[in-house]
Amino acid sequence: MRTLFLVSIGLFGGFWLGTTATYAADEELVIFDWSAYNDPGFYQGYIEQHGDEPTFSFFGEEEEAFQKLRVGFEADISHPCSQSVSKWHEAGLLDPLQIDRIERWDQVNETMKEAFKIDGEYYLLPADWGTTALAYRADLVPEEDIQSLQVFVDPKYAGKVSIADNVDDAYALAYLATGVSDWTTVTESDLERASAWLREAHKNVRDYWQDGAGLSQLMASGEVLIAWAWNETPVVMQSEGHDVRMNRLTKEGSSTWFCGYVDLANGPNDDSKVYDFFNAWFEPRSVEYIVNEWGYGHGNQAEMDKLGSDILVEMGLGPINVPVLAQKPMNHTIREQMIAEFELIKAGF
Amino acid sequence: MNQETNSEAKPIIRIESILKNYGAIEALKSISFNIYQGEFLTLLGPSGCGKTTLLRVIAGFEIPNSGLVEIDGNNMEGIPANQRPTNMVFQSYAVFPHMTVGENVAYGLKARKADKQTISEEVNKALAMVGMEGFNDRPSTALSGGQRQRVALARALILKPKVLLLDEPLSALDKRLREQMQSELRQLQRSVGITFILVTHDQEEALTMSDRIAVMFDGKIEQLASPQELYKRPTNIQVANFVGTMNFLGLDLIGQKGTDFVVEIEGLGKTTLPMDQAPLGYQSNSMAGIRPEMFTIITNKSQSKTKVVKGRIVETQYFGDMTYFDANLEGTDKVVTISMRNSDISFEINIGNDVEIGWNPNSILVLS
Amino acid sequence: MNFSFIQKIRGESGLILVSPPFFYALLLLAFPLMGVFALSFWTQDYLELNRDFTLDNYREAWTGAIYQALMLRSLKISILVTLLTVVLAFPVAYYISFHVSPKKKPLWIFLITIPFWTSYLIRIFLWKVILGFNGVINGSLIGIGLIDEPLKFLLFNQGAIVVTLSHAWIPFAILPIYVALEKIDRSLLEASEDLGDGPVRRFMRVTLPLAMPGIIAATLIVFIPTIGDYVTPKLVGGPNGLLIANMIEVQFKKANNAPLGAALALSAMFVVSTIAMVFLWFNRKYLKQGQ
Ligand SMILES: Nc1ncnc2c1ncn2[C@@H]1O[C@H](COP(=O)(O)OP(=O)(O)O)[C@@H](O)[C@H]1O
Ligand SMILES: [Mg+2]
Repeated sequence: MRTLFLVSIGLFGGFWLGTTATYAADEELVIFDWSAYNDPGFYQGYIEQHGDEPTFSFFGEEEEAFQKLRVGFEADISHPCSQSVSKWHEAGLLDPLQIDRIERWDQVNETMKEAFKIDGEYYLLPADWGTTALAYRADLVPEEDIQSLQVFVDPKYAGKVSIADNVDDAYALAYLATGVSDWTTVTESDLERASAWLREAHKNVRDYWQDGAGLSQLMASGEVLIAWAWNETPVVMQSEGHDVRMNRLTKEGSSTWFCGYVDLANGPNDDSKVYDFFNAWFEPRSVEYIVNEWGYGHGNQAEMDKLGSDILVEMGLGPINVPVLAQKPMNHTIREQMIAEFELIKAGF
Repeated sequence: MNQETNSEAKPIIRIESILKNYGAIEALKSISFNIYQGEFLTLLGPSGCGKTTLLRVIAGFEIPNSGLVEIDGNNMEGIPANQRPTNMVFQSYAVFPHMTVGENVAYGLKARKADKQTISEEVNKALAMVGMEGFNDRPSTALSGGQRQRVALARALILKPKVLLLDEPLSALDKRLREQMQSELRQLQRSVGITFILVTHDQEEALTMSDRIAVMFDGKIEQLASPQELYKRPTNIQVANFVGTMNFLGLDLIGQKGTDFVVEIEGLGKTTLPMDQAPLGYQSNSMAGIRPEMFTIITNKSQSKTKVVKGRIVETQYFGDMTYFDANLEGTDKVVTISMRNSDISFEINIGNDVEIGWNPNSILVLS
Repeated sequence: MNFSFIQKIRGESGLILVSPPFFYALLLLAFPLMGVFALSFWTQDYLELNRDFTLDNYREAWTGAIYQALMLRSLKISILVTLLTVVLAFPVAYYISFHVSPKKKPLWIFLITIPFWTSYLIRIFLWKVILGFNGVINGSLIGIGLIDEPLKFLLFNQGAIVVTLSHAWIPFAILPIYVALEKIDRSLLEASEDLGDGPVRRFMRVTLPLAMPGIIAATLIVFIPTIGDYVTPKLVGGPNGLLIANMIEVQFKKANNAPLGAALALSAMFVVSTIAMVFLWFNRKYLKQGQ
């Protein structure tokens, strides 16, 4: 997902180029996506149907994508995550989905799609999701230390902790640690407590990680022993031979995030191919591919269930019976406070 | 100053067998000579003959491949430029652009850590010496070429060097200023009594300013003599050609009579010459040399010259006080240059005129 | 016949000649800047811009403790980067100008610009590899037995930002210093020696003052843009390495407060220009030479 984005755009040859690189391909469908999401494994059906790839244009970060779209960049579909969808919708960037043209709409994860039902219309096709939880070096951290998220504020781990450098994951951790598992209903005082906790944790932080690759490096070297990480990190690191595990079952729980495709209002083309692309994404083979190759969950809940719990548990995507903070849209005033507060905390205030 | 007294005096600079190569280029080929206290010596020669190199060897900017430089009795080997009792006026003047005139002139005294009071007095004196009093606070970038040169001079003289080295100091100035500076420099040198070594490729400049002139060709000193000596008795064709103008005529040795040569000179005929008019003796490639002013176009029968030949004027050049004539000598295709004071010419001489040309065997030099 | 007519034509054609580059510059520089300027006096509520004039953004930018702290931190880092860069660049420029044979100089200059061929991000990652926990430096020190535990103060702090930025900007500092040194008439150095200065005093009294225009240019070239860098602090700065530019980015993006971002950006620009002006004023005498 948001993985690797800095590295990959770096390899594309420049910070700026990364966001504008377009692939010469079928121009009747323009997709404005996270870099590296032009993986044919996700939409093999579309290629078979049309004989060509759609045109991709990339962004490295949602805010950047948002600003670009607002000043008139034209694409047919894009790929925001749960925290941005409302903002994009309120800025008038989105068209409602024509759900009757989505073949497997009834298989789509219920909670996720309902989260963006606004005035009876659906706006997000939840495509990929993952979990954010406590990851640790199992060879260096004893089991008893990772039973609680309070390990992040344990002075024993000063300078050996890393938290995601994004406000949603960071506050998901802080809310869970302070006993809140549904942030759609948080109050000012909840926010205050979470911020205070995060301030404590800041003292232990070695670095706020920007991307999965960076976190992997930090953990591989043993510089960071405990991290608030996406489920892909342990999956990737285990395959590289590092004993990094994830504990989604701390007593305070863990978090899930999700992203999805939206139909942009000002797309240059009519929607005919948009739905071909959506339908290709929701084929069973795409579900299998994203789980196995990328370590992410898929929005097609029915197909996910068919994969069986073994593989899902292995990937850190299985069901759990501790609190789960789903990163659903929240009150944007509170969120803006979170953003401001997070910057203060990171700056040492 | 003549050479007899020189050989008794103690040289301020002694240069012995200096060799300097730049890779395959031999810039200096075994140079030896002495320079005496208070002398104004000029290194004269065409561009590329090694004058600057020699000056820089003396100043300590170039290390010779072999040979000795002795200044005031001290061997300069291993002594860097900043510790030598010489100062230099650079061809480009090298006036520090980030300093005022006063700061430029004070530079060397500051390097010697003189006290403020002394510096300020000396700077004023030095500026007065070169006629630039009151310029102390001028930025040096706001100076004319002549002024920059004066600053460079003052800057060097303030240190009272044993020897002042000047590398083509006047070449960048226009003719008027150059002539003025020539006489000023000469006067300055007399009044301060410092030994000057000046480099130039301008023979006129060398003749007017110097006590002695070292004429250099191709890394060697061909002749070292006073201006008069150099003009009257150049020791070879190269030197004679470079210093003033000289006519060269073919020469055949017929015989010898006592201390005289009997020779046949192209266009002038048979004559006898005293042997001392051949400073380096007679060689098969020797030529007869005669200065243009040693020919006379006879305009007045009473004028007597030892010898007379006939010729026809082929070219004239008028210079106000002088006229230069080119004349074809009768019976040859040889053209010689003749110079006459206009006050000595009593009738008009035009191209095509046949004239009688007088000359004297005493003014003939046998050169190789 | 009235000549002012002709002059008028001349004046107009001059204007026509000047216009395209002028308008181009205006388009690329002045208009965006004016946009930012206007923005800084407005307010934003989530997605809506309120165009009522207010100075609140500036009030907040100049009095908010976090903004003051970040601005000071940014200044401190920029000054350190500038110092380090210029100090490291000078010997290199000096060596090329004075000790490399004229034939080889273009090659050296070329070699110095090679780092530019790789993306800046890759260079940052290289520094992470060098300074990292199991990086080149720690690896070597452990290898030769000098330390047992990797040193943690190498990366993820302000020092790492300074090192990374200095490395990135060094070529920009070498070039102007090199040009200034090349312009020094070598006979000036000989004159200094001739007048009695040894190598050290000659350097202090002639070489250095004459190289000052280059040093000043290098200082400004490095100082002014480094204050706006936000990638480096993000990647190597660690928990205490955020700078004012990161805050500006946050305001424009996540925090939905572009006006405050604009005010911060303009304030930073103002502070930097002021410092640059003061710096130039102190060095004014070096800039007059050669006119
Ligand atoms: N630094 C140098 N490197 C190589 N050759 C040089 C150098 N300086 C002088 N030369 C050569 O040495 C010879 C003498 O030069 P120079 O002393 O400058 O002549 P002048 O001053 O009489 O014109 C010339 O052939 C010149 O090309
Ligand atoms: Mg010369």
